[in-house]
Order: sequence, then C-alpha cells, then structure tokens
Amino acid sequence: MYSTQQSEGGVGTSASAGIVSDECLGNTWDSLSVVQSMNFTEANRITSHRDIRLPLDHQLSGLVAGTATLSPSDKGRSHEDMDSFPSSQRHRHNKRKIDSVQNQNVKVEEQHDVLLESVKDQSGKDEKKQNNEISNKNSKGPDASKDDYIHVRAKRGQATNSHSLAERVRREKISERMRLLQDLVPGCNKINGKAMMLDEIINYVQSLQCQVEFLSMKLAAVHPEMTFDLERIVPKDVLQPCYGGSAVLGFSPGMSSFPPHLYASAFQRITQPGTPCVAPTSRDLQQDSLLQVSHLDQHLSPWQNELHIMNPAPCEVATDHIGSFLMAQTP
Amino acid sequence: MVALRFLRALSLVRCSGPGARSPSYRARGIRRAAYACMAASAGPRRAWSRALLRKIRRRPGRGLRRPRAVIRRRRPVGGGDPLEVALRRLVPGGGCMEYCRLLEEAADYVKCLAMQVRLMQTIVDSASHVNSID
Repeated sequence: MYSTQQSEGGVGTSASAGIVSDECLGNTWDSLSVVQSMNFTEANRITSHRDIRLPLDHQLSGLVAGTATLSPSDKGRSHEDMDSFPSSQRHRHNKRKIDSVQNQNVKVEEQHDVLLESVKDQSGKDEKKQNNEISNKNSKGPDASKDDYIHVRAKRGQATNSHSLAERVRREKISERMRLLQDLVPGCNKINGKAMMLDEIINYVQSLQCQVEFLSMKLAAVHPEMTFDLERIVPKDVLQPCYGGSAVLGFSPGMSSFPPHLYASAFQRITQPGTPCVAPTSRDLQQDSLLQVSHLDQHLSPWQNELHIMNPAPCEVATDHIGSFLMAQTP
Repeated sequence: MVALRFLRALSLVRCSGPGARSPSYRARGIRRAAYACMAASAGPRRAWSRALLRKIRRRPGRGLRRPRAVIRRRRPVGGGDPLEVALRRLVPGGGCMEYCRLLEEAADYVKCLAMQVRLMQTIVDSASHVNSID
C-alpha cells in the first residue's frame, strides 16, 4: 500500500538515484533490503576497499539490522520529508542518510584495517623487540657512559609496569650469569634448575678450595727437596710457549720488549710435539713463567709487591732450578 | 702470570728458613701464597681479589686498624635463600654484593681457582717426577 503511493509520489519529484533510495526509505521492511543493496553500491562507488568486501557485508547487515529498529521513525520522517520538503532537501536528507551509512562503512573499514594491522603487528612486534634488544646491546656500550638507563620494550601480552620490567631485566641478567657459571662448572649441562645449579656450584668451589689446601700440603712436603737454578735455564732458551700462548696467560705490557729471536728458536722446538699454540698446557705455563721470572724483576708493579707480605723475613731471591728438572722430563 | 707469581712466591717461602719450620707452617705459607698470587693476577678490578688480598694482609697481631674511608656493607643482605648465603660465604667479599654481582664474581673466582689448582697440580707432579727419577 505504502509502496504504491510512494512510488507514485517519488517518481514524479526526482530523477536521481538518491531519490530512488528515498522512495525505498520510506517504505516497509522489504525496502530495507533494497536500501542495503543501494547503500552497498554507494559504498562501492565511493570507497575502494574491495578486498574487504565480505566482512563489510556482515558489518553492513549488522548495521542495517541495528538501524532497522529506527525505521518506523525514519519512515515517518521520510514521509514528512517527501510531503513537505522540496526535492533538493529530500536529496540532502537522503545524502545525509547515505553519508551516515557511509561513515559507518568507513568506520567498519577502519576497524577492519585496525584488525589487519594488529595481526601484522604481532609478528612485527616480536621482531621489533628483538631489534630493540640487539640495538640495546649494541648501544649499551657507547651509551653506558652517557646514561645508565636500560631501555626495554615490553613484549606483547606482558605487563608494562615499570616494576615488572625492571624485575624482568634483573631476572634475565641472573639467568645469563647462571649460564656462564654452567659453562665453567663441569658436568652442569644437564642440570636445569636454579637451586640444583647453585648447589653444584657451591660444591665445586668447596672442592677446589680443598684441593688447593691439599696441594699446598703436598708442595710443602716436596718443596725442600726442590732446587731451582734459573741462570742455567735462560741462556738455554728453554722451551717457551709460542707468543700466542703467552698472550693467553695475560702477558704484561712489559713483556713486549722481549727480543723475538728467543721465541723463534723456542717455537721450533715446540712445534715438533705438535702442541697447539692457543691452548698452552700447564707445563708451558711454567716454562713461560721461568722466562718471565728472569726478566721481569725490573717490571715490578705495586700490585706484585703483595708477594712480600707473605714472609716475615724475606731474603734475597734465590735462583731456581725448576728448569733443570723440567728439562729432565721432556722426552 | 699466575705461574710467574706463584713460583716467585714459592721461592720466597722456601727462603724463609727451610729447616726451622714445620711442614704445616710451610703448607700454610704456601696456601697463602697461592691465594695471594691468584688474587694479584686477577687484578684490582675484581671485588673478590680485593677482598681476598685484604683478608691476607690483615694479620692477626696487627694492632689498631687505620681508619679508612672504606664503605663496607653497602647493603645488608636479607639472606633468605640458604644456597645464596653459602655462596656468599665461599666467595671472598661476597657479603656486600648484590645477587647479580655475586654470580659474576663467583664465575671469575671459579675460573681463577681452577687455574691455580691446575698449576699447583703440575708443579707437584713435576716435582714428584723429578724425585722419582733421582
């Protein structure tokens, strides 16, 4: 009934597409579907997000369903519009409606875009966090002197409270140190718990200290029988470790004044058993120390003076015969 | 560097009168020498080396201590974890450090201790070998 009346009234007054929708607007529920399609076409014409058409459909249907409740009042209004207002105003009214629906469409699209972006960001945020971590680590060196703030980025789904961030940083530091300790202590690769690790570390330290005591007692027993003679050793160019080996030991800067030919001659001797240069054996340690003993007297640093504390009555340094028995041992 | 210092220290210990002293006295001296060499070679940058040297220097019959502007016990530790307390006791100077710092110092201490033990073991082995030869 309505529709027939409206169509009669509508056709005569306007000729634009907007007016056609106007006719439908003022009609029954059935017309709403037409409105939907009309608005959809309008949306298609104006906005160009064609790839996200499907969700828009759903959104639109929801919107239309939402607006459906308003339709009786709309119907009444449009009725009045059609009757009283001129065509231009009707057009404007229609445009307003279309605009509002378009705004809703735009909002919907924005929502969807936000959703898409959030999905993309999930992978991006992790990358960002990694990059931040890496950049933090890289920049910590030069920036540590400027300011002591540690910049941390919260991961997705984690608390952003400053306290929890600081706690997390601290926990990471502690776990890093525990990993270092795990590498140092033998046989700790399988242990995963913090408490067990600490237990192992404590046992290892205690065992090392016991070993030091035991070995010192043994040395005290063996010691008076040892005779040391350095003067014999030095001109013989005793088997010295290669330069790389001595560097591993923490070569003092004073040692660089050594004539290189000493090392060259010694190097030839050492290469025959095929000892690796990078990892000197403890024998190499001693041999290196012999050379250092002979030459380093003039390089006494104040830190080395601590050695004099140990004896109540220090006398002159006796020449040592360590080299003699070491020479005897070499095959 | 450790070996160098240790051997020098050994020779110093030996010089102090080989016949008069008992082996236990010499053993104690050697032990102190070992720890001192370890701490000296580690350098003053490490908290444990400083604390260790301070402990060795402080002889029992020293008299009055010089009033130093040393800040000890920066933060009194609320030792809740028995493992942490044990570790603090083991590592020299571990009473005043934060937990993070404690772990770091413990790692360095373990490394130097292991090296010292290896060195002493080698010396003992070579000395015993020489004696067995003769």
